[in-house]
Amino acid sequence: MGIETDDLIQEMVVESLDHLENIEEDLLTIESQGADIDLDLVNKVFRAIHSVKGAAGFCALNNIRELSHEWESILNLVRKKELTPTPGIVDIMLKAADLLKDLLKNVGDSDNRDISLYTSMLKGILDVDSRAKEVGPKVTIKDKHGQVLMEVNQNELLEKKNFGYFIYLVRMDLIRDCQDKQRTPLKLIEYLTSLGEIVNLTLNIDAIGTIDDGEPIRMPLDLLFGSIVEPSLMAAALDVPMDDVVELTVAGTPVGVPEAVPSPAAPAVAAEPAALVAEKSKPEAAPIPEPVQVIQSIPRPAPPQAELTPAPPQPVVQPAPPPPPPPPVRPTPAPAPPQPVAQPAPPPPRPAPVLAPPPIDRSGAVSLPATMESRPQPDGGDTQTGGEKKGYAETSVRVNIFLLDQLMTLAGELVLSRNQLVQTISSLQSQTLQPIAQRINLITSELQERIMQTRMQPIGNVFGKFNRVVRDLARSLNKNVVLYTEGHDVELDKSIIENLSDPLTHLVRNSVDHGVEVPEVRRRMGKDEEGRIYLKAYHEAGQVNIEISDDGAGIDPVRIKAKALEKGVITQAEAQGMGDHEAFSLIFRPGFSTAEKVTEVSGRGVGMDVVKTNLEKLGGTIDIQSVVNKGTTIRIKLPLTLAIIPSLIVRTGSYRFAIPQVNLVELVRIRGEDVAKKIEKIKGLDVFRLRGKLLPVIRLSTVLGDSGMYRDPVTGQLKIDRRDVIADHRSTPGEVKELPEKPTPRDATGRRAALTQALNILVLSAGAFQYGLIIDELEDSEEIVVKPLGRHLKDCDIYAGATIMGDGRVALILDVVGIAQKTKLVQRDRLTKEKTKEEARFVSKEIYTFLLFTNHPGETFAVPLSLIVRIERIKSKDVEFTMQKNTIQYRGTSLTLLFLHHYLKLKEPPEQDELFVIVFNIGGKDIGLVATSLLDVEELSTQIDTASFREKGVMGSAIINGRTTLLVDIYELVDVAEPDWIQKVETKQTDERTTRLLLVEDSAFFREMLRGYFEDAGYDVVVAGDGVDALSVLAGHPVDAVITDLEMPNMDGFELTRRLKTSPEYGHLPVMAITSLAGDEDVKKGMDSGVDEYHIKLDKEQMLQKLSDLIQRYQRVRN
Amino acid sequence: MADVQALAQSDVRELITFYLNGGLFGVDVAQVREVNRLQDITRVPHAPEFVCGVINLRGEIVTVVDLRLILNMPATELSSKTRIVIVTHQDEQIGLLVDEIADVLIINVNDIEPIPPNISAEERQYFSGVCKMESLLTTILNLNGILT
Repeated sequence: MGIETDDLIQEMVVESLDHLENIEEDLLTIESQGADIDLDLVNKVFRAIHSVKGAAGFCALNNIRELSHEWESILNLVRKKELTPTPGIVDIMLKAADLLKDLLKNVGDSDNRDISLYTSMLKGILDVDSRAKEVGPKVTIKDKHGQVLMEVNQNELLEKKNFGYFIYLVRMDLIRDCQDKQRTPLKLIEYLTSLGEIVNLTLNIDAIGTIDDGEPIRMPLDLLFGSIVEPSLMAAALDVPMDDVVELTVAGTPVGVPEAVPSPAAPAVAAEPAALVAEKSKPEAAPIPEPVQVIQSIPRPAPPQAELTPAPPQPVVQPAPPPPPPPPVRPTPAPAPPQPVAQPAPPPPRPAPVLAPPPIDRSGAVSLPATMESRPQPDGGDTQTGGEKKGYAETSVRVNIFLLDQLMTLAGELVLSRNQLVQTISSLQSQTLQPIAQRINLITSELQERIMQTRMQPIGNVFGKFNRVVRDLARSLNKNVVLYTEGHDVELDKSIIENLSDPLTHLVRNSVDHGVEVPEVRRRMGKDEEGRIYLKAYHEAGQVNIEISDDGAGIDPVRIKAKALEKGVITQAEAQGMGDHEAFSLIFRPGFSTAEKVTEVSGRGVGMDVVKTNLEKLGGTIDIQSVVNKGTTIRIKLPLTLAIIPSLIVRTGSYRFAIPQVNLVELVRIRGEDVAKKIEKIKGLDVFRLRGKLLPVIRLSTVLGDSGMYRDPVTGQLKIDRRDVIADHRSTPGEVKELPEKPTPRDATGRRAALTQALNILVLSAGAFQYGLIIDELEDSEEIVVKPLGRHLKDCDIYAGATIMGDGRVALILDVVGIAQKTKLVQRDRLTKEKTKEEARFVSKEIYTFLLFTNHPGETFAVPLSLIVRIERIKSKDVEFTMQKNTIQYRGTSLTLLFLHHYLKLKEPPEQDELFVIVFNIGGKDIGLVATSLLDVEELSTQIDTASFREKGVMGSAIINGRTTLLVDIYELVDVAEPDWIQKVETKQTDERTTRLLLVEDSAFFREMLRGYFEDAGYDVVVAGDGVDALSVLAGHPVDAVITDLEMPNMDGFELTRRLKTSPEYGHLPVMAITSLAGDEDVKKGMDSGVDEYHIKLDKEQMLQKLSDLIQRYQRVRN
Repeated sequence: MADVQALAQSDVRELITFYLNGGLFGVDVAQVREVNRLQDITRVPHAPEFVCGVINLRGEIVTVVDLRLILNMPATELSSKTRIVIVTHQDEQIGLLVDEIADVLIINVNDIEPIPPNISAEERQYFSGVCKMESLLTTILNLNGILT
């Protein structure tokens, strides 16, 4: 019982939701028509609500029934044109629709909900509309002897009738039916309510016999009873004599003949519309002379033409030619002429449109059905698809989705088996089998296609709700917006349709909220006050396109960029190089929203990035085009089905993987000789420069590699994964012997080998983030069927599932986002982005000019331009090697050459004919640094990473133009290469050993570097970060000289010098300024403030010399 | 004949038995869907160690686990006798790699003895009992413990 009820309720819910599916649209249409209502449409809605009510009553879902009942009452008034559907009323009805759907969706809980607010709202409409007038005429119910039994409101009877109930007057006898049957009256009532509803009942006291009568005691109970039990069965169901059950019309008179002779043969009430109307003319109370329309969902045996002609309904029995089925409502004013030819015997007369008695208006003309929607739907299903598809006979059945899924799976299997079969047969070369295989082949394909189609649903199901969305939102924003939709019948897989609703809603709301301007603005712009939003679906290239366009304000790329800059989504440099289209796509970046005010609409924490991600989950893409003041168009491309996705099959090692095409941006192949040049390393992360943008790249083998080894549970040793062997063993049984010899550290050799091999890089997009995945081999592009992985593999985030390839083997589907997360690429990407941002912030502060050059093509270096004496171009064959030194004859002297890779851990550069020599003067002697090529002169901020690459000869590293660049410390390098030279420099300073310096420098990098220089030279150094800091340091540390930077926060070097020089305590101190500023004006300004020496940073040699001179000069003066 | 009679009684269980590392183990026949020969197992990098990979079982992706690894035995060595026992567990088909299929055993529930106390608590979850038939001792596997 329980299960049955559940099933029943489930069925009822599904059906009711079906009824409600397009109700919003219909209500909106009704609203737009105002007083000029389309009766058919209203009837359609009425029927829908009515069916819900009926079903709910049947399932004892009281809240649902009550709500639909109240709503139905309003629709009834609308139908009778007694109530004009104003926007306010439609509003309430829309809310009721929401609630009703909600109740249905949570049907188990529906009766626990408080719906009084809504029912009272609905009732409120009735009251407000002065429906205070009698709810309907009274009907007097008499028994067969003419005795008046009771008076009821006719509406109550109507309601039951509308419910699909038969109305009975039943005479029961409490003695006979209770006492004799040994049941309590309550039991009886309970039994009755299980059969139907009691409208009214009276206990006929008069008829109770007395003991004196000596007759069997009777206690007649007259029931006015509504039930779906058919008249022929009713008496039996109640276990009362046939005579005691009388079926009534809504007028309260017995059905059939006006005589009260109930007979099982009496035609069903439904077949008596004429009688109903006829009787209606003489109800006792009858205060309103209007025709009462009885809505029935029961067929009436009148051909539809009857409606189109003023002639009275014709009898069914009509000689040939029988009335053709009316074309889907294209009413002709005249009776349709008999359809000629090509019309096979028409189906049996169908139910007429549900308007029971043709609504005849004053003029006597017949109103015509106006829209397609008004056509009766035998299944009550959606009318959206319209047209011929929905025949008059039932053409669709309900099928469990689960069953369809299984069918899908089986079809997939069949396809695979077919593939194998066809392959085998073709190898047999059998003449007889070939054609059979061909047929099997075709049929299988067809079958699979058809089964897939069963899951397809029209997108109209989603579009339908947007009228409401747009209307509600526009109203709340005081905008005037109209939505136009197109392509309702474009079909998509059910699972896509289901997940499309949210993203589309967001986009449509955006169009209303951000796109369409308020009417005043539109007027000023010379636009129509009414904004338009178009929602369009169409097929293109095997995909479904959905366009959402508006004629609103458009998106201003400049503003977008500004916003993105402000929010730190992009850098200044990025913004400058960005086209409009790129700028538009910024709105899909996480954390971006252009809404200037956070409205109820836009401020819901759902960004466009979520929309994009959700669409990508569906295998879709999104693109945006916009022209300022003209409007915006957003185009979504979706696959027809999720179950089958186009993918690229790739191979790495022994693995084969599928990568969803939707994630694939492009394929890049780097030639073997270019690999080293194009792939750089930043902080241990490989990066690839793709058209000026840095793309992190990762080897798929690295991603997978971790499991190449496993820890032996017994010995605890790391071993080669045995499973590797297994897999290979199985896939290629012949190779078993060779496998153990497979190089163990696969990665190492693989990588080295790969250095000389061409690289295949898949540029993949994981949301807003892109990266490159290096794979061994590209196979084919294939449509794959996605299958889920078992629960033991759920934690492997790098897979999106698996698929079965044509050869019957399994291939895993890579999850592009999962890989990025697993390998922490995303975080690292953020890191480099932050870094770039920081760099950008420093740009304005201090700039040093560097010469960029390479040694090995993949490695970039920089030296301060200010240290370079000159640059020479030499022939590599001229380089001599004598006394452990590389030298070259140059202007009569021999120039010592330094090769970077001799002193630093670097790759040896390839041989080449010409070399560059960067000449420095260190310790009074020229020395040449060899470069294979000169790249550029770049200005560099002080944002230098001193940690990552610090070694003797390297100051640190910086990212210049996205390339990791090592800053060469030429002094250290010379120190390593020619220890004698540096010795000479240092001896010069031996006499200043105890001299203490104050070094004022805000950049930590330079501070540390300079401190190193000075300490190496034998000075004692105290440091300060800026002028203010310096003054306080000075208070505690007596020093012999001050070396200060000029550009500093808080107090700059000029001010500091001025203070020092004018103070009695420190006036005697020599001050040397070191700076990157070297303009004449700066020098003058420095001198004006009292700087004794002026020097450019990074020229260690000269700086130390000058300092030494300066200190000695001061000491001399003092002595 | 005796078997048939035994079957008719309710306190009888049917086991599919197989060898793992020389020992005899059994799984209730009701949980077994089929026994397959070894086929292409697609390895799944980053999968738990005991997962050998996945196979295509008539269109369904089935995870194959190395029972020996789960039971703390040395990993299965593949041979022509290796079989994949497909069991249904929590609505999912899972393949168990076994060394060799032995027999279908009909046993009386009364013959099932509790797990010997010398089995560690950790390993206890893998077994639901032992059954001594003639000279052979069959350990009955508890799939719930093994596969979750």
